[in-house]
Amino acid sequence: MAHAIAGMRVFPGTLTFADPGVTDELDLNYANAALADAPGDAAPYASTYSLGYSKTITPDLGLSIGTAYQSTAAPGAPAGLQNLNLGIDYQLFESDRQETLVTGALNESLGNTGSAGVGTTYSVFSPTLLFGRGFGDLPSSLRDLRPLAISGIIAPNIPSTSSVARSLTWGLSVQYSLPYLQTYVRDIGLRAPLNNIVPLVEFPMQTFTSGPYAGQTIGTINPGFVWIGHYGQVGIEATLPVNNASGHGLGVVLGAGFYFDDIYPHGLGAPLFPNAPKVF
Amino acid sequence: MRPTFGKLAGIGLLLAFSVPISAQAHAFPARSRPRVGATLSQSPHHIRIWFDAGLEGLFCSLTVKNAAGHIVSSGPGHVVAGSHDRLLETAVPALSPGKYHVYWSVVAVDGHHTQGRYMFRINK
Repeated sequence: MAHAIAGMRVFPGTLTFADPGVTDELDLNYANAALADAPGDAAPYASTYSLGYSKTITPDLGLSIGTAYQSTAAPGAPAGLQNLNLGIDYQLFESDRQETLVTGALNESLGNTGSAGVGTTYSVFSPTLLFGRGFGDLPSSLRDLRPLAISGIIAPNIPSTSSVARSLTWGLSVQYSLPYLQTYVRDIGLRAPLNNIVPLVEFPMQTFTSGPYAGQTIGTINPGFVWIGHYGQVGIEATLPVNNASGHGLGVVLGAGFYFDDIYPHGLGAPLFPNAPKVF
Repeated sequence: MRPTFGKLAGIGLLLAFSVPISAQAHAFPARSRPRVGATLSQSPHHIRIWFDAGLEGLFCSLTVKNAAGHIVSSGPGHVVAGSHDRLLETAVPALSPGKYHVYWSVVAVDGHHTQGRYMFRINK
């Protein structure tokens, strides 16, 4: 979860996958849902508390680190830390006029860094493409749709052992920004806190590409909203499994993000090398 | 009694939200006159945008263009004294009926740049 800006578009941090920007942020998430790790797996309700921190090295290059603690009410079920995740992000493309961002990332879930029964003994390498596109350039006849934006992720997951199935993480969010509507399209008189809300729907998915589940997809549909403030954001989404193989019942995910680039603009929130030239 | 992870996470969240904040964030419009997308019955004398953070006046501009793309505002705009550096203003002459676009570009006191545009109309 993070936030990024392209022209007049502020992409709020989505709660189930990273946004398309390279930022200085601290993100905290809580989720409670009954979701399967693989199609048809047992899916007891589990609580997950996750923590992520991202730091810019240059304006376009960033590093990230994150982990999560998982617990479940099922008797005998393991609880503990998931594997540690490390990442390096680079913003490949930005168009202010077209409100477009594209970021590439190399992420690694490090094996043997989590708790027994929760983390895994193998690592997973995930080259990742993140993108965002706002629709502020729609013609004036469609101006009420200009607050719309999409963001997404595509990431093949490559385990360090061939005995574990490979998969493709993919996701999409559809957002309608009320602050964009009020500030750039039409002031409809919304006041705080409604004027800073971005209703959105996220579709985080995983399609298995090898092993016994090859071709099968699990995922959820997450309707909710994010409220954007000066120095951070909070968000809430419902979690609805897309099929029986994905889990069951209604879940919830809560997120809070702290924009360190706004809180500490000349210190912790600034790139280490602010004047570094763009490589690509 | 051992604290649970949930309680620890809650305490951590409270601590995080309690971080003392003295900086100013990206500046975005809080309100505008004329209002964004408004239809007016007569020409305004000024275009004013109030921002939600302090501005560096030296690096801010406010321009109004008519439907033909010609600049109709008087000067590049300025941050109004006594507004806590939050009000950006420019004067306009008597505008004829039509569609007008307001373009703004500002740098907040923390150095972050933001920009935007919006439209208003004047009816006959």
